Amino acid sequence: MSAQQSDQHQYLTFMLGKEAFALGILSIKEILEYAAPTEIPMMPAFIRGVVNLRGAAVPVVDLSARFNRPAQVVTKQTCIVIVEVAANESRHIIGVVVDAVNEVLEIPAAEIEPTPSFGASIRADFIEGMGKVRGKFVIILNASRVLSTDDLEALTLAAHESSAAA
Amino acid sequence: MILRFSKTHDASETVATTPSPYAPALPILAKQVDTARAQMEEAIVALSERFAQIVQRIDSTLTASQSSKQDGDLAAILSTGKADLVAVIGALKEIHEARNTLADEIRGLAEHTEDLKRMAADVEMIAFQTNMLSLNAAIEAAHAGDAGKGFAVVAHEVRSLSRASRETGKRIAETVNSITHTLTSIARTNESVAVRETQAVRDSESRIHEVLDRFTNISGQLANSAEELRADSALIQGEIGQSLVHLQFQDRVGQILGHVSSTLQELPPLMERTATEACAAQFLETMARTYTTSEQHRNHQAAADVSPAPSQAVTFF
Repeated sequence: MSAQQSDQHQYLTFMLGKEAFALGILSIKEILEYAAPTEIPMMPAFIRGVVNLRGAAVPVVDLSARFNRPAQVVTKQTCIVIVEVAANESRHIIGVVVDAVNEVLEIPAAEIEPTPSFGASIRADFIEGMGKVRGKFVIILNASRVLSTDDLEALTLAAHESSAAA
Repeated sequence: MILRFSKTHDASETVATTPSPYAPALPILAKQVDTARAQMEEAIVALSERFAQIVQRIDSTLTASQSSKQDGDLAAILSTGKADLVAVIGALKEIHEARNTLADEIRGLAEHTEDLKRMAADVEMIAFQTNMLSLNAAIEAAHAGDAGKGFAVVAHEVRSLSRASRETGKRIAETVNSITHTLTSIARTNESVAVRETQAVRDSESRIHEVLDRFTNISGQLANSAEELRADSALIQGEIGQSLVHLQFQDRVGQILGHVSSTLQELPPLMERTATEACAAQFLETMARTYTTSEQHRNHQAAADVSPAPSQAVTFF
């Protein structure tokens, strides 16, 4: 297996409530311990605010709200996953609040099942597929879809405004 | 006793007389008197002896019950009892003290377990952060592609380490919890026992004091009764002593009866001889000479209105 291939097959698994999700590792920059974001007014509900990442203001998204679920409760295991997504020609750095991070592991393509057409509680286009890990399934998210362009602009605007104010 | 005179004789001349027909009665009377005297003597001697014995017995009883020895014993028993009580209560109080010390030590231990809990939480926090570190390392390694392979291995090992630390942290926390539970229940048991103990000690103390007080009371009452008994016995002793003195009358009675008896016995032979007034007077005189008691002399005086008073001095026994 080539290096790139194995890269593409590495995922970070994490928890939202009781469900296990996964994100491709290439889109992940780092993981931070949870710090309360600075709130931005007049933003969509799923945007928690911004956090300070080595001087830069990074917007933070509440995935549960994004998936229309009850808001996440912050525990000592809550983390912020810093994700890099491409939209149009630019790349954006966004933080995602997760209830707990599990591990970095490899899910070969053979172990990935296609998204079920019905029954999923999340928008189908958010899901890349169902990964089989040790007999259980994790929902592999499509990062660029979850953090879509339309919303990104609002986020970018918010980030600029808060940087100007700081 | 009236002597008969013949009418034909004058008082100073010895005259021939007929023996009195009443003469035989005199010896009999004498014997009756003797018997009475003997019986009286016997009875009174016996009575005196018994009284003397009673006095003797009371005396020895009084000496035996001399207060000093008994009271001393009682006081000794009482003070020994009190000393024992103090020792027992002291021992119980020591146990109580030990219990308090135990409670303090348990409290001290509880503080240490709090420290342990904090440390266990710290260990878990370190484990969590180490885990984060290993994940970030894995992410970097993935981004570095081939060059990051070695680093990925390191990251993996660090992850195992963090998992082990977290397990250890959990186990420490669990152990500390069970220790705390045990300590709490020991402390609770200790406390409840201590409370019951204090109560029991107090009860025992008061009850023993009650018993000792009652004992003191009763022995005091006993001492009083003994004292009264001694007083009464001494009184009785005195009374009996007085009675003994009265019984000495027997002596006088015996003497009087003895004189009567012997005089009666002297009469019959005299009565057979002729008697004159002079003889009779002499007889009375002789009679008076035998007297040893003042009663005899008084009686003689009162009855002898025909006889002259005796000229001799009275001889008392």
